[in-house]
Amino acid sequence: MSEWTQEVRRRLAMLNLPPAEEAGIIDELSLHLEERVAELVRDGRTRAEARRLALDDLSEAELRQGGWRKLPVPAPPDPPPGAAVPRLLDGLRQDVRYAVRSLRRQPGFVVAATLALALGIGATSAIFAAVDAVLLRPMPFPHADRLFVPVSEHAGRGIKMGSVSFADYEDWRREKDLFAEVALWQPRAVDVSGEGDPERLQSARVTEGFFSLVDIKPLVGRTFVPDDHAPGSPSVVLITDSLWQRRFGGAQDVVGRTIRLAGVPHDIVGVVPARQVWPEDTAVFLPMRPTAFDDNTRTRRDNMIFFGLARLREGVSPDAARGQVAAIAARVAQEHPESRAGWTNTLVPLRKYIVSAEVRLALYVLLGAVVAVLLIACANVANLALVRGTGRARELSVRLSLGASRRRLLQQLLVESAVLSAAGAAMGLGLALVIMKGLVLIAPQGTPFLNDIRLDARVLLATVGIGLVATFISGVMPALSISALRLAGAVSEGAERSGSSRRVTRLRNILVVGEIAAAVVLVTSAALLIRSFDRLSRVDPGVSVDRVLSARVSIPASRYTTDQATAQFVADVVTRLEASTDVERAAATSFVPVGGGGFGLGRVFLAEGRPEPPAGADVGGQWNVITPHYFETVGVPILEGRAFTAHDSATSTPVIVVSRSFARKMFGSESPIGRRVRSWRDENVLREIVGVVGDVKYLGLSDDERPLVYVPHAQCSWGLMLLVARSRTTQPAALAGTLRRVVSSVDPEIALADVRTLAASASESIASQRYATLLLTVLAGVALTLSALGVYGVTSYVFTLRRREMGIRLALGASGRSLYGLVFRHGFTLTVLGLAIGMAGSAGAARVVRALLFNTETTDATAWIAMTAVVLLSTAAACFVPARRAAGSDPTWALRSE
Amino acid sequence: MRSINAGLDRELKKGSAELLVLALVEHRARHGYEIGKLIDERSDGRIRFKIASLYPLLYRLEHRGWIQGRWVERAGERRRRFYKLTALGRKELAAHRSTWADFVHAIRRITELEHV
Repeated sequence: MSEWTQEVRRRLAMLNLPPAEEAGIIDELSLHLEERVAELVRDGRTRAEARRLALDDLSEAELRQGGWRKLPVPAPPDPPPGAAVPRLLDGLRQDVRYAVRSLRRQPGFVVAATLALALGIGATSAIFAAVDAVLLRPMPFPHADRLFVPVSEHAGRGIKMGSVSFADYEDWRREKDLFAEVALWQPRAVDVSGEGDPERLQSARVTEGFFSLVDIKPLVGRTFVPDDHAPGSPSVVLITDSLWQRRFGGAQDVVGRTIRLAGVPHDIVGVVPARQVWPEDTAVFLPMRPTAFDDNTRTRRDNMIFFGLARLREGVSPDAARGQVAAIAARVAQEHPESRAGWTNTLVPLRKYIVSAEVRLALYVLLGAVVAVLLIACANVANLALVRGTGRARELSVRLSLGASRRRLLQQLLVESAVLSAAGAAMGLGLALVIMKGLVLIAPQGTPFLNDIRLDARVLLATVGIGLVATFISGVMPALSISALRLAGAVSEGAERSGSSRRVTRLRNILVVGEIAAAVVLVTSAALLIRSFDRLSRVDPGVSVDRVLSARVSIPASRYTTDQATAQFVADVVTRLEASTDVERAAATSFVPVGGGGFGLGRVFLAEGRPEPPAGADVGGQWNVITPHYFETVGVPILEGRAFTAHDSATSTPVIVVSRSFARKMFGSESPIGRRVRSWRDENVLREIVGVVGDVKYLGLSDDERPLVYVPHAQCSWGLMLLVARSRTTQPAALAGTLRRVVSSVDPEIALADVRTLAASASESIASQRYATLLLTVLAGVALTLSALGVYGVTSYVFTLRRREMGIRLALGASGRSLYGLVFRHGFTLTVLGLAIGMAGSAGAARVVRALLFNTETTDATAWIAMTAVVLLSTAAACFVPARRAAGSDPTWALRSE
Repeated sequence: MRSINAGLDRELKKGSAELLVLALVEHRARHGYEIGKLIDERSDGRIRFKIASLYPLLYRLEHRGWIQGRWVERAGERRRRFYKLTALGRKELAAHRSTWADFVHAIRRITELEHV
């Protein structure tokens, strides 16, 4: 580069030379000036003088007269050998600079396009990151792809992914060719004490092969050895590293220390890394001791109280293993028809077991939705770029006719859209980070793996890919319009209004119709979900959720060794609670409805005198243990008979209260009061039905009606209970202190856990539906806004082109209102087309989201009408400004412009 | 009337300028500075092309395919763009020459007749 380059570049800037040629011209002219100055100096001028004289020849006036305006574009200079790469980079740099310069002239376009792209890319990357974290990325466990969960299924009772029996596990363990290892585990919440405050933590009792199955090495000490599972051996425990850090400060000598679990001291034998162990949230592991089980637990095929985990041998196909497991189940069903008819077993991949089908479907629906938003955004950018393209039609046509190659102009347009996409992608990435934070923040508790969300290389790659697609789409559209220009061959003044612009307009109309159609699909899906969620949140839970607080207590069997002692503890706590001034009613229960949780048992019942299966049919029901004022406390209505009283004791007649749906299933329309039933496979005691109560939503607001039975705690003294208390005020959360005080006044070593209001449980039970509905609604809103912008863009463009016509119409006496009609008709024609196509698409999409809907048909009229109204309203809003502008056209302007 | 004169003037200048450039690169390739310098020298300074108008002319001729520019690098020298006559340019040059000769001849006859 000579000293002249900068100067020449500055002077030539006014000519707006095409960037690719500019460099060569500057080079050539600089050299010329250099030689001219050298010559003038040789002739005796001073250097300064020579410089001034030489530059005079390149003054603005000279340049104006020099014929540059008519300058055809010369072929690009041949790069000298060896200098190809820097020249190429130089050219690219210039293209980029030129693009930035020309984009800066239209800030409105740039802001709109960048925002649209950023929204599309940001939302897509964020949702993709969530899908990746939850569904795609390998789970953080060793051999994750070979981990399967053996489950029980009963098609007739709608049971999928059910727990399994110990006897089945023993069968599977014999299949050494299939499984590297099979293990069972049982979760249980325990109160941990010793060295620090007592706390309630999750424990898992595991069988012998568990740690070789999950294949993790202890951080300190050892995992379990066979002796640990022998009856009578010392009580040992493995803790996870998070508990180790929290309670022991990561001390290396933790092995050999003791912690108290439910009051019983256990020796710590090792520490395992929590992140690599499933089930999540387990803080302590205990060895299961099957030899200590009673026969019921060990041999009964329908005592399905265990969770399984299996690792397939390398090279064994899941289908082969599934086939063998199903064959075993078929044999068992044949051998034990009374308890196993209709049951089978299968293997579920661990990820599928952890991530529920609804979550998986919701994530894929959201992914589909963001991809639609991205496409709409790209169509919008392409649309905007087309306007610019046509706005520059003359510039481009002139350059074309002067011999600029189409490739050259294309390259420049592509560089421009690449610059735009780069800006959009950068902003989108920032946006993605924010959205990801938000996704995690508002996600329902316990959404698996979501905390692992991150923008890793794969997500980044996806984003870059999206950016490239966006570049391609938004770059190719204007390029097509250039070829249209070329066909029109138009340097003529009217190029903008000629055939080429009709083609462009048609292209833009198609884009907008596509945008609307995509938005319609999203808005319909969102409307259906909103309808469904509305029904869900107004569903009658069968209980009165206001003013009720619940909390878990675990009564340690080690200290409360008799049923009587356990029953007495519960009775004492409830009595003292009811004596508190802020408590209206209180009770204890084994399970809190609307998803409040607890310990549930599914049992099967026979009415007195009816034959046992396989001759007769039994009726299933969830077994609940309660204290007398339970129904009053949570507000379950007594439909017939009575609730329990203090007179229903261990020594009185065994009694039972049933729910309406249980009564109907067992006795049809007859009154069940006074009849006797027994849970023939379990307790097998004839209990007299003394009352019928209303049905409740048991597992959550979206749960189906379940047959339930209730027995008095005095006759069935379970140690895992929940306390429920109805507040006198509307602030049930304020009862937490009272509950803690009362429990510790009866037994200071017992901790409360999971203290929460019934309303919170109910709300949390539909958190995932709320989440999906909220996200899809936001996405539908974005889609609708973008497509409305598209409608706005195309109508305002068309009517700017037809401004002269509008003026003439006004001059000829057309009313402003009729012009409004003209514009609206245009916008609505596009919208109605988009609606029609979108509705066809929505019908397909609705079939996908149907599984997410609660009591809502995919043909729900309200949802479809609301969708149509919203889409039409947004179009109306989009048409308003162009319509007003058209109606305000100046008739004289039209005449002048002719 | 003025505009017609001005137009003719422009055409004349333009036509002659093209002829000059084509003629100068007829036998050997030359770079822009050299072309400008030769025109200046051979006309004894009567005809001068300024940098601001010489190069657009070269590019225009190149675009028409009459001359062809090529970047050439020689040992010890800066790289320069050399222009040479193309086959099409050769035909154009011949045509220009004969037109110009006819024109000059006509002018001479007119002006000389006045002198007679």
